[in-house]
Amino acid sequence: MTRPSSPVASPASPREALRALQESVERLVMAGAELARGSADLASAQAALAPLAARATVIARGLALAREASEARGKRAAAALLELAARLHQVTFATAPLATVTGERADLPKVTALNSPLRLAELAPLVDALTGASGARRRAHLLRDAVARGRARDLRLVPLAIAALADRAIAPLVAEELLPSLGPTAALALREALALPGGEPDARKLQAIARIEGAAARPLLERAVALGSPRVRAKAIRELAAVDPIAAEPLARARLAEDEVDEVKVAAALALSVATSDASLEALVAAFTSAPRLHAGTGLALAASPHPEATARILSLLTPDLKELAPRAAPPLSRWIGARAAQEKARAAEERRDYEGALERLTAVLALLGGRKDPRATAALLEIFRAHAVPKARDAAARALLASGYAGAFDELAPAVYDADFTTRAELIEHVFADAARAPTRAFDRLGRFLDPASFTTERHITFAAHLLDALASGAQIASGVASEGDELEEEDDPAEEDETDTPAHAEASERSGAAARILAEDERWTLACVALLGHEELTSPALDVLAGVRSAHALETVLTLAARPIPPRHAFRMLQVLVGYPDARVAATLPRFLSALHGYWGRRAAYRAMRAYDDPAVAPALVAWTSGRRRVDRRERAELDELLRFLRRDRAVASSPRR
Amino acid sequence: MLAPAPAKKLRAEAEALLRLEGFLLDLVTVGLGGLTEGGARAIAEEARRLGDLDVTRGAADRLRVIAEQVSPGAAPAGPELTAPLRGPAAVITELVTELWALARRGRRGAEAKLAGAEATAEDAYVESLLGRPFRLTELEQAGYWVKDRSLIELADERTWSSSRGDASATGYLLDLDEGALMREWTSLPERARSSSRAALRPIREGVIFVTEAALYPGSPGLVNRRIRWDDKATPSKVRERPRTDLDYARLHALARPVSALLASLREQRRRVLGPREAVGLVSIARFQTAGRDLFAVDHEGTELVLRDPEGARYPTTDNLRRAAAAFGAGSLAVRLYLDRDARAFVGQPLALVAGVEHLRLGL
Repeated sequence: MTRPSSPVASPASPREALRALQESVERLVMAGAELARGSADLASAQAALAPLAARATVIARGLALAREASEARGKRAAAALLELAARLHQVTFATAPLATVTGERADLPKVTALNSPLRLAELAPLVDALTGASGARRRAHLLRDAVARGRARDLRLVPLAIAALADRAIAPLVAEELLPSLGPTAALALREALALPGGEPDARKLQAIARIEGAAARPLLERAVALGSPRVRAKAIRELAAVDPIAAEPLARARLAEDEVDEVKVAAALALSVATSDASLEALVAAFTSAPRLHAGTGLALAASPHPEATARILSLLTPDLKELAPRAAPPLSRWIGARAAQEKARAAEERRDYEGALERLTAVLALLGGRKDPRATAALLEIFRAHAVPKARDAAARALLASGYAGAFDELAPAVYDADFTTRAELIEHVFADAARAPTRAFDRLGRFLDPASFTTERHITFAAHLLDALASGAQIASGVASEGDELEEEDDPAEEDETDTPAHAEASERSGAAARILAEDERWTLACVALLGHEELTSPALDVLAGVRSAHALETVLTLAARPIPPRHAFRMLQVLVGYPDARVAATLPRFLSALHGYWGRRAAYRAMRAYDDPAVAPALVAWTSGRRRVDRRERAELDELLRFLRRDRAVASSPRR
Repeated sequence: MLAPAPAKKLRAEAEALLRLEGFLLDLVTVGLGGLTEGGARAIAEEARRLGDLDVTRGAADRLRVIAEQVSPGAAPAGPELTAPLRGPAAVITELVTELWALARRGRRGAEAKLAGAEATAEDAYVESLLGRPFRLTELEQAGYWVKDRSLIELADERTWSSSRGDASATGYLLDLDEGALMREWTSLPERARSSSRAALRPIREGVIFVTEAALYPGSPGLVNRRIRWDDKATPSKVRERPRTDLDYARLHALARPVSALLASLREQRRRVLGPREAVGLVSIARFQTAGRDLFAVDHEGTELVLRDPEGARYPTTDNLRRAAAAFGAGSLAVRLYLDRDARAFVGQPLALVAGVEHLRLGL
């Protein structure tokens, strides 16, 4: 180990000399008291203090201890060092001054009052939610609720809320709702913490500032558009458009034309979605036509454009060559033979690219027209849907018609649904479900016929029926209000995952499932149609998935009848899921029959738990019989079985004690 | 003459503390920076042994904190040996020094008691630092007892200690009659937090009137003595009422100048075992900034730089900046402590009382 050496300069004042001695002692405590012997550092500090010993006894005592430490060995040296360190700490406290203020003095800026009114019971859950403390669940829900009730306005939440902008699960909510609710005080703190070259958290800070300050944030937003990182620029241009659309227009046009980052270009396009000038409309059209990768962003902006000529300008993009685009024929085999094969290959590739480019352009324009919700746009879409030679173009027009909200869209599209691609079919189903929000029975009137076994004449009919059942099953899960036990456990294990359920994508999915849940709950014809499909080889599984989420005596009887026969292993788990929803004694008696049909411990665990829930002691003998017939049961399953048997065979005369 | 059982306990305590003294001297002889994994394990083992005795649990906790700070093999070397210590190393030095002094003082006290000497307030204070649990009846019999106190809570802090595995809550209560600032402290093992029957102290929003309470022993000059009363006391013994304008007026009248709090802290630290910080209520004329620093100026013109301690669980200074900007000056509950790097005193704000507005700054 290196021996402590002397500092370069000798201490000048008593305070500095004492400080040098204290630092030397602290270093020796860390480095080892043995090194005190011959420490030049310690010797130097002693020498500096020696002339002062006569003036203060504390210094004289300190010097004596320092001498002892530097002359003694082992524990004696250590004791002297510790004694000296303790005394020097006291000296420091006795002599240290108040810290001095340096720098230019300024008064505090006046801000709106924000106090600390929340009680601990209100504050603690919010703190846990913002900091992601272990055990915090449904964080976004909790925060949103507190903001809505006005019980999130507390000074102490400001720093935590700003830090939470780096927490992906709750950052949007914090930036858009919580921080704005904290007002100008939060804006001031956000400005202090903002770094324009920063990433997503800084973009969120900027967003929150804009939401709080409104038009007053304009200079900051303009500076962020000019100097920020791409993420910050993108956020700044959107927020600027929200607080001052007129000021944002020229800046957004410039970013759309010149920025090197697509994210910023898209943000600029979206910022122009509220612009009314000709220049902005032309800028959007130019960006839409020149950069296919920006179609999504620029398309959204053009679809929303309030410019009176927007629809006409978009219709002009539907050029005759796009309207008359023909299906692409495969090139003749002769083109690939001979010396010019390579050239032909390159030309064919170029032709394919051109064709695909044109088709992509056409698809994008059709989607754009669907977003306009304008009779002229609808007419153009119907024309393409009815007459275009390319199937993909017809599918795109169909989707656009659905998106446009055109009242006759279903009647127009239903005859062609079997020919449509997956996305178009999904959108059609979604459209019908959403439309049924006002009249739930209308959905079956429209789609029920697609589940009629008599209509299954080709594979495409079965595929569409399966698609429809899958869409219903997602709603059925919500309608039943229960997830499988495994799902519940996963949710408990991962609170962060639950926060994902607060994302907009999840909200959209929930809305879709919610619509399906409503029509299932209010129209029993769906249940009857699913029961009728239970004999169908390919549709039994999705039909059982739907039935697992509804409560119907007819469904129960049918599945009990099925369970009385040999249970097909591939449907066993789903049949079990249907049955366990009913508080019917016959279900309990059926449960042991499932054990042989269910594969693996995880599958059988559902049956074990159902047996526990039904709590029928008559099941125990069947369970024992099944267990004794098995040669191998792993330790985990054995433990669960034993526990289950103990539970079922317990003395039921003894009343259970109330749960604490 | 002591009864056999207490004498046996005292002997065990004295032996444990003597062993701790020797253990600390061994550590310092080798150097705390040069600890190996084995050394760190030895510290943990010694802490476990000390923790077995209920009269030395406080010392065990301090030793565990040292073990947490020590990273084996991080001995300063070369140029580091000439530089002032920063971060954990400086904290370790302080902790070891104090623990060593505590062990020596505690052992002497135990030996004196064994020899039949009367226990002093200082002895009782050292025992409380060592972690001896006091019963309320014991404190009452020993005279550590106060009556009829009106208390107003200025701040509440909650912490969780991984070394002890417990959560604690500290409330700073101003005695509206005498002006003393007392500490009400409770702790709970982490596993007991979910219990409906156990709870940390509540935040007290009103004025509490306590007819009887224990005021823990303290060394002369101790600024924040611990106060405790029976949580299950009948309403006739502990009452809480809403605060009035008069309470706030009294509170402001009790706020002191910064220099008085500084003098109190210095007096407190004249004893090696006096706490390194003190919480007080100071009367502030204005708040200002200088660069990134926030400082308070009291009515005597003394300036107090406000800064969060390194590694503060919940920084409060920025909250004061916002509160003061909105509500102006008033009485400031502040923790005065020594900034190790600057070797100067600074304050960490805990609460601002502006007029009748009580702004809690921390959690």
